[in-house]
Amino acid sequence: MESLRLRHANSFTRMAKSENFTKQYRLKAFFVFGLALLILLNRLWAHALFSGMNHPLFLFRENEAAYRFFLQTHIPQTITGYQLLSFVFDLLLFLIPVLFIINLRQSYAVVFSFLLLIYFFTYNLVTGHHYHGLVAAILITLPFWTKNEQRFHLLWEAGRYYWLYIFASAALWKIVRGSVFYSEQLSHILKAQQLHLLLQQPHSIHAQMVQYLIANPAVAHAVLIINVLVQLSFLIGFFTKKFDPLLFALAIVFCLANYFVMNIVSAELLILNLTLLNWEKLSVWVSVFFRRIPLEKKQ
Amino acid sequence: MKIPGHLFLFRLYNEFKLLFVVAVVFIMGTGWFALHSHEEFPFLLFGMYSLKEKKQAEYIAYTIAVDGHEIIYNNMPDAQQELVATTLANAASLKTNPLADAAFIIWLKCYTVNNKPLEIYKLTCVYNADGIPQITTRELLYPHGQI
Repeated sequence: MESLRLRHANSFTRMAKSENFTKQYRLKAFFVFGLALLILLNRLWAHALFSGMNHPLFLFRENEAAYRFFLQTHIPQTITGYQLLSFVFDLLLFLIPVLFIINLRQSYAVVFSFLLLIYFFTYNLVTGHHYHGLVAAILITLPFWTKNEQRFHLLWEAGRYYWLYIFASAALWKIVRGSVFYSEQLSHILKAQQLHLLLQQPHSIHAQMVQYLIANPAVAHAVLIINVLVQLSFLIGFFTKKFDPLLFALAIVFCLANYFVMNIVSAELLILNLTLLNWEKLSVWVSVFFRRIPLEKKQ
Repeated sequence: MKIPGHLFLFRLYNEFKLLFVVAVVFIMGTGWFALHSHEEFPFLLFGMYSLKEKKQAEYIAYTIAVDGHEIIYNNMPDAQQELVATTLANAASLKTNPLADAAFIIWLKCYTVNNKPLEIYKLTCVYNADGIPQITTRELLYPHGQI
């Protein structure tokens, strides 16, 4: 009798756990694929999706094997070479995540990851610059390739570690290469990075701030040291999750500062910041919020 | 030696062997390429301007004028700015001048101007003590006779 009761209790716990997982899975899917859609919308507005690159194309010579291999497949040349095909690919980039949010079929997540990967390679081949921001969007879709709870959590956690790696390694590179100790580092970077801004909009507040940092290397150096400390603080995440809310906020602060000082938009990387959120709490808040709405409507 | 059971890699080894192998290959690959300061996808290195930036005697900028009006890069969305300005800077700085490559010019023209007159300038600048860039030479790269 006792064992029967225990078995019943265990199966109830399993059910509750699985129900909780389903809720979190759906919620994470909504946020991840919703944010990916926003990133793509922003790129559509910037004429930087496949259809924006569908003119006779100049592709740079590549040093990296993966890019050379991708060029050999003729995929980027074919997609951007035919206007209709580039529109179809753009359409798929929007359609697939919407379908995934609606019915959570794993195959859609797999297709979307590959579509993003193709777009990532094509965009980087056209610009001749290996922009990393989109890697975050590709990576965070990988957990949705499975519906196995344990595997999903492990893949999600791997995404969190990758997010920590991005920041922590950026700090370590600056320390190992000694650039953080070079007092004129940021001042010299700004001279090259912000030249267009200073030439084209010299009277804007943004340009005035940059100009001040260039003219005052000591202040610029202090900004660089703070930046490295912020990046270095992500190391703590490898040992504990206690500071994840703080790291979540620091990542946003970093991206804002990166925009104002360096004119670099790293907002697309921020999608990986979702891995630092407490999804158990968030799913409780969301269910409380959605339960409250009909009650308020009745009143 | 006892391995703590909560270590992520240890959990992967126990619960998800395939991901464990991927993670180990990724860590080793990234470490190897980091040691050689060389990037190979998917072993990405996030230096974020970690190379020492030495003082340059002069700085180069490329500007585009459409129908006589200079394009203000900062007014473009970021992805478009990257697509136009970075492509142009990369192309113009290549040794074999690809500005002589008709394909590139046609692409740039279609992307930016819808057949309006297009000019590309190379500006050489020096900074004064107040952090203000001053243009020393302004060279017209396009249009030129070869195309």
